[in-house]
Amino acid sequence: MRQSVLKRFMKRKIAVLGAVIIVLFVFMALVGPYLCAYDPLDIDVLNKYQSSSREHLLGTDNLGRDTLTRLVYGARITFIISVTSVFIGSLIGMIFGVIAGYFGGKTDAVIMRATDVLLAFPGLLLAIAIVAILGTGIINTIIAIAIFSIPYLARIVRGSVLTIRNSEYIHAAKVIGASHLRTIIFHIVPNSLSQVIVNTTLNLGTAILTSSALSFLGLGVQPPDPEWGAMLSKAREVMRSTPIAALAPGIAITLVVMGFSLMGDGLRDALDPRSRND
Amino acid sequence: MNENILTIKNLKKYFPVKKDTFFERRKYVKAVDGISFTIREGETLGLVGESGCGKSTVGKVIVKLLEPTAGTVSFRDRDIYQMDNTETAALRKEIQMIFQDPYSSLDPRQKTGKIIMEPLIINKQKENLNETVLKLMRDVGLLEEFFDRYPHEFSGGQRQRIGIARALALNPSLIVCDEPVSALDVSIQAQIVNMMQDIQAQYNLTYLFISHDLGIVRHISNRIAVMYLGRIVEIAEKKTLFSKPLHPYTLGLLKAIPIPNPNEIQEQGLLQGDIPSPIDLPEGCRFHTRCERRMDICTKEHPIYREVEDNHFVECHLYD
Amino acid sequence: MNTPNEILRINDLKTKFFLEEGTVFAVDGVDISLREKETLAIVGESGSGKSVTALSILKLIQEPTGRITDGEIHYRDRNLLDLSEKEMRKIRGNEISMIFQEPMTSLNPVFTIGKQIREVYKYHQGLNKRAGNRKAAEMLDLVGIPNSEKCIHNYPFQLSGGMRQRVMIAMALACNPRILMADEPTTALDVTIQSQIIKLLMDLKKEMRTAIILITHDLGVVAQLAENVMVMYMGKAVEYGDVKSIFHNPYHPYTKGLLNSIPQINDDHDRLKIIKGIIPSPFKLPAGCKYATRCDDVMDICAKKEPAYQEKENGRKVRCWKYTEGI
Repeated sequence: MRQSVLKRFMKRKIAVLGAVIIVLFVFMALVGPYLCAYDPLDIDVLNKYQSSSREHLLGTDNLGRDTLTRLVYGARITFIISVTSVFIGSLIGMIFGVIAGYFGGKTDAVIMRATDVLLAFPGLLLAIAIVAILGTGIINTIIAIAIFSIPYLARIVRGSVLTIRNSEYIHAAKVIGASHLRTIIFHIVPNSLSQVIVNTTLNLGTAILTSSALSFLGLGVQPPDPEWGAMLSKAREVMRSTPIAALAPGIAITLVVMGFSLMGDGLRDALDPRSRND
Repeated sequence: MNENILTIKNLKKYFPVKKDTFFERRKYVKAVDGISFTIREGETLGLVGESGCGKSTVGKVIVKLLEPTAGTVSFRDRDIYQMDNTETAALRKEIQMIFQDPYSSLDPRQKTGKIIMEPLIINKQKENLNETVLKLMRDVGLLEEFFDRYPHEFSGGQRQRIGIARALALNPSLIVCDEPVSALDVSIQAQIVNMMQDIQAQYNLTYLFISHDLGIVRHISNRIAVMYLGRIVEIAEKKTLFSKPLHPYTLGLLKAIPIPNPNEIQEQGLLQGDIPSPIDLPEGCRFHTRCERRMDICTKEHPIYREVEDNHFVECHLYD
Repeated sequence: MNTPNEILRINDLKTKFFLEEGTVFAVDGVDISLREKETLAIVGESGSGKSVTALSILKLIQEPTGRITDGEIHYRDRNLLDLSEKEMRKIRGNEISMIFQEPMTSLNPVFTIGKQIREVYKYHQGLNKRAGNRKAAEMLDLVGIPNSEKCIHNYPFQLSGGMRQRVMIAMALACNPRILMADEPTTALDVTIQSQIIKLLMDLKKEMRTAIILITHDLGVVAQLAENVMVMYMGKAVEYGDVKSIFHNPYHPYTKGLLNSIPQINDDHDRLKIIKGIIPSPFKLPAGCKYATRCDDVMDICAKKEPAYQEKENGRKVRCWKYTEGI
């Protein structure tokens, strides 16, 4: 069954393209730093705002640091922030979603109203508010984005649990004496996992956008750490004279976000039980 | 054979209906509305009726998937809704269920072996786990090599065999079979019914066989209960029920089964009209709206469920 | 056209489905001849291709997954397979119509019953709302719906399953079609309601000129309604004949097996007679006779070569080596 999911995924060319983009960026984040000629924090004020050249393929920034090097190191920070935050957020969201969907009634009502409140804030505003309370920095950015992705996952998982809960195999589990915990761990969670995987992938793109936006506003990752949003923010001042400084991180963000979206859509199609012939 | 394994007294199960407006009086679907019957050790009791008559609800109450609104269900003289946790755990091993839809009754993410094993693991019978499962698989006619396959690799009939093996795993005394073959093809139905009869003898099982298919019920049952809108209208030994049905509804049901013989021209459509909604039940006898032998009293007074002959109960004013 | 009054003749129809796992020969060389006012039952279990045959006649196979790859469907003087989609639309619901198993989902929930029947008249006969409503009420009367004037203003959810199936029949018969295809018309209904629908179909048969193709797995329904029966197994017709011969003197072991596996209401056996095994996977069909893996009378040749569809006495046909002479 797993194999056929992979096979179906591979048939969707666009989704494969998304996966390739992500793999390339992950590779860059893992291996890139060992190949770079410069240190991302090395300041060389004399050579600031250079266009692309043989020494600096993507030019330099306001303090003369090599943009390509910063981009490569920035990929690490970007992935660490997005993956950790979405993982934590999805996990908590899934737990709430499963509890709400499985037990229903008042528990469900309370959890769903809470997610309604969180969803009522425009996404970025919520993240800004959380950072305003907790302060800036990588850890707090992660927390902000995690909280921000909880309600989405909770709602989606609740929806799929509601369907699963009424399946005869859940009744069957009760009849053979399975406890709630056992039913949830062995039957409910495995069957809602495909939903979680798809939506986590799609959320990764949003998480990167949010973390970049926070840094762009100076609320996320703090200088001198290289972060794509922060790089974009600094380069904004010289958009006219040295466009490469803004284009490089801008395109990187776009590509990664697009990559996750395409991959997520492909996963959804490949995992969708309706397209399965069984 | 004559000992009662299960006794049901005045069982009711109502489901609340969503109100359209706040001020409306809350309405209920009276799925099961005061029924009493017994199941004897070792027999197969057929429970038949059309959709909405409450037959599946009865099954679910017996396996404790639904709590009754009123009434008692006693297994070997112990009320199953007055039991503490240890007793309930022990009861699970005694009463099991076979489900209707072989496509949704098996967890799609578990392999055959795992599915059949689960009741044993939960109830801490972990000795010789694999051998026990393989024996169960043989008993229900599954090949050993199916152990590591997922449900979606099987046909409906084979899936139903997996579900039956799971129900058998704890060596129960009573199995509630909720339309176990109605989702299957005709030729497969016969295979499953035969297999169920084999394991009944082998495992000393008592069956409550719930179905809308009178042909199959007649084949497998010793006694048959007929339900209509939440009530048992007639219950009798199989032979009696088929040769001498008393309730006009039973008669109508029997006459409605299409006879697979082109030489016998059947009178069709004897029972007119639709089954009334279980929310707004007719006054008096529930069947009077469709009954050909309706009398004045039927629209006013509810008939009493009474034993008109030995072991032949009927609920109809014709036999007052 | 050699048979008198023949309105439908299908020769060697083949419909295939191209799936990821392989190609399914859903209908694999089926011949059908249907006369005016005849009721032909197509009997088979799931996977036999009986429903796909009906959908093929109306050219309702979803492309590109499925395609009619071969054969001819002669309706009166035309081969339906040569017609354009536009021409087919004039035939569907007008000259050949169909009712489905599930009366819940076959009606559009957001329109009234009257509107849905009226649409048929509007499309095929250009009737306006008033005339359409009048005809709709007439049709509802015909299929035994009480208060037809009121019913045309109802929405599908206000009707019971049996009533909805009556509405479906009314819609299908609205334009007085030459052929009505009924795909498991009573399967989703309760026994007593099923009996009412069978009675309705019996009465309609007497009154209308329509020929019926009844697709079902229920041999009881077949015995009561059909004149001729075609038994299908794995995309092929295995036996054809008049209903009495099929029920009282079946040739093909599969037909015998099907008849035997019905629990008889009137006699008591300890065990049901069964057809052993399960239907083969459509992706791994046996080389010879498709039924050889389950057949009680299997011979050496059966597994090697597919038997031909042989003509027998009284127009009967059978596809089985046991009844093939000269082997």
